[in-house]
Parts: sequence; C-alpha cells; structure tokens
Amino acid sequence: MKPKEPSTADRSTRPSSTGVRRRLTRASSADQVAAHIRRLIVSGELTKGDRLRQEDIADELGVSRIPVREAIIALDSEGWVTFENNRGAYVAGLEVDDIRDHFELRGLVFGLIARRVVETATDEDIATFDDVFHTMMAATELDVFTEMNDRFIGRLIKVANSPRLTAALMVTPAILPTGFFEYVPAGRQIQEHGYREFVEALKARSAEQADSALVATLLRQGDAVVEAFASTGLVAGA
Amino acid sequence: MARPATASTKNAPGVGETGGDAVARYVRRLVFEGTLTDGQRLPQDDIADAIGVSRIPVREAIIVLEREGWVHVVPHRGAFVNALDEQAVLDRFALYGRFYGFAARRAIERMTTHDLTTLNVHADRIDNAANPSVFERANAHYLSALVHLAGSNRLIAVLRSTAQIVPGNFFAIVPNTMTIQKAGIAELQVALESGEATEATRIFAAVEHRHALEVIALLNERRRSA
Repeated sequence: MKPKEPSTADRSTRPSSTGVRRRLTRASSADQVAAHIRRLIVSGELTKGDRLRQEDIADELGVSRIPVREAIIALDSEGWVTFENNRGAYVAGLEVDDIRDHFELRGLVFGLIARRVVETATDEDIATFDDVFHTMMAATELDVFTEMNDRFIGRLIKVANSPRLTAALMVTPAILPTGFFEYVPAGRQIQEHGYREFVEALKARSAEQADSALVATLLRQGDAVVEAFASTGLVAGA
Repeated sequence: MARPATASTKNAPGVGETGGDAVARYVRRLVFEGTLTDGQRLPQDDIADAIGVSRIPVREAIIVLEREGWVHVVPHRGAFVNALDEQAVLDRFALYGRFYGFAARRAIERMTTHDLTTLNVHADRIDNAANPSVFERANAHYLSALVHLAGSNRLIAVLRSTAQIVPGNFFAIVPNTMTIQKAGIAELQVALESGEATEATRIFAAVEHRHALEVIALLNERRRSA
C-alpha cells in the first residue's frame, strides 16, 4: 500500500474548506508513514513485539529512510511503538482496553476543547456549528457526513485556539483517520447525538454541559469501535 | 534572537540521552526562560551548533516538541514557538488534572487493600518531606504508583507527552506548590480509601488548577522584573 504523496496537484484540486482536510492533504510524508503504521497496529496486522524495520517500510511505501525514522519517533512519543536508537523499534501492542482508554483520553481532551469553545465562541461561530451540524444530519452520503464531521472538529480546534490542547490531540490521534463511519456504523448516531448536545450546550453557553457532551461521545465511540472490531474481526483491509 | 550559547558541556547530550533528547531539553528551557518567544521560528542551525549535533536530531526533537505543545510545524516553513501564556499554562495543567483524574478512577476500580496500603506509605512520605528535593521524589513515587495501579498503557503514553512546563524541580522553582500538593494528596487519599472516583477526579482538577495559577504568577513576576 502506497500513501499518496502530497503533490501540488493534490492541494490545488482539493481546496476543501475544512482546516482538518487541508492539514491532511498537506501532511508530510512522515505523517503519512505514521498514519500507515498506526493503522496496521489498529487493524491487528502488527502486534505487540513486532519489530519495525525502517528499510522494509521505506521500500514498501516507496519513501526514503528519513520520513520512516521520523514517523517512528512520532509513534514512540504517542506510545504506539517503543524505539531505542541501538535496539530498534517494536510495536507496543494495542488491546481492547487500550482502544477504550484511547477514546476516553481523547474525550477528556475534547471536553477541555469544548470548554474553551464555550468561553470564546462568537455568535457567528455558534451559527456555523449549528449549520455544519444540520448539514451533517441531513447528509445521505457517508462522504458528506464524514466531511461535515471533519469540518465540525476543525471548527472546534480553531475556535478553542489552544496549541496545548491541539498538541494533546496529536498524542491521542484519530486511530481510524479515514473511513471511521464505514468501519463503525453505530458511530454515526453517536456522533449526531453528541453534537446535538454540544450545540445545545453552546447555545446555552454552558461549558459544563458542552464538556460532558464530548466526553460522553468519545466514550461511546470507544465502545462502538471495540464492538465493531469484535463483530467484524479486525479492520482488515482498512 | 541572539544566537543561543555555543556548544557547551551543559547543553551536550547527557548519559543515556540522545541528541534529540538534548535538543528538546534545551528548547524547553529557552521557551520557559523567555529566550524563545511566541511565534518565533526555531533557529534550527543555531540550536544544532549549541548542542553540537547535526540538523537531524533537531528535526527529531521538533516532532516530540510538537506533540508536547511547545512548537507547531508549518510545512515547508519550519517550526514556530507556541506562546507560554496564561491560557497555555491553564490548558496544560487542566490536561494534567484530567489525565491524573483518569488514573485515580482506574486505580479505584482495580486496587486491592494491599495497594492502598502501599499508596498510603508513599503519601506519608510526601506529608513528612521537609525539603523540595525529598518532596519531589516522594511525589513522583506516589504518582507513578497510582499510574501503575491504573494499568493503562495509553495513559502512560499520554502523560509522557504532557510536557513539564517548568524545567527542573517544579516544587523548588514554583512557590507554594509543595503546600498545595501536600494538601491535595492528603485529600486524595481519603477519596481513594472510600472509593469515591468523582471526588478523586475533582481533587486532581482543583490541585492542578491551583498549580497553574502559581506558575502564571511566577511567569508574570519574571516578566515584570525582566
């Protein structure tokens, strides 16, 4: 599997209005290598103790060793891999509890982001959240739904405007960055319910409720992911 | 910015430290001390010279520093320093409070009376510690025991990337934090003993918030006297 190189053509043909999408298309090759390895870990193709050989990964993905090494350092700092200079990189393993914990921790970060959004959102921002939410609800195509979801998250990050919280999301990244709702069909309803609560809380300017809406949503998503993996096997081919 | 100091043994990688570790340690200090400020582009060549390494470990350190929230990377343009302002400090301690609250909840679900006794021993050492260096060690032992009891690899990874804002011994550098932490751990022990997860979560959030306010006061003090 080859990650798409972030070419100029790619950027100009996909001028999506979401910050998230822009960041994805401009992702460095190290980010793409990291996303690739993370996905192999989540799908169970790589399991605890497996050794990551930099040259093999570089060959397989058609990139140089440098982005592979950088990806491994990123994955080490996120805890997916343990990397020691002289001993090489090994997969840290991901079990059902780790997936639940991952979503719960990501939810705690999103809860704080929700608080900051309530503190700083202008009326215009609130109207935008409401619009994106309604477009999302009306979406018949999964692609549209996913794009609106990305846009909603992009707005949360932008309005919260907190580099520290954004950094914490990098350490608890989306583990199924694409196709989440395809692999986890129950996730769609959970997301809709959570955003509805969030938007209501935002309109009422309740930081507390906005916070708990997103914390609860991510907790439920974690359970849904675990359930989806249990019933379909792992996300082979993801 | 003026060129950072030239390579010295103080900056060079220590025992068991990679070039990237030394670079990260150096950059954190420069940001905390206000030598590198909000929006400034990291002078990667100067930093490499100061530590006595090539550009490669500098790039590697940037990956880690970005995840810790010290810098953000703009593709093809470089790494830029994130502000260490009030909001950054509040956010960082709020995160810490939540992550340790998570640890306490998990520990409550899993721990035995024997585990609780062990935690009590650590808590007593915290209570009896008279100076910041003894206190720091006792506190680190207590928290690491708590995180261990929580039994979550993901938590450990996340905590590892939640950077220390203050380089060195936090409790020696930031006034009043030892008193705040002592009172907080004493309160926390009561909540853990009675298995009150919600209360334990609240305590961690409150303690970390108080620490944040002390750090903000210290940073403001420094800026005034600078």
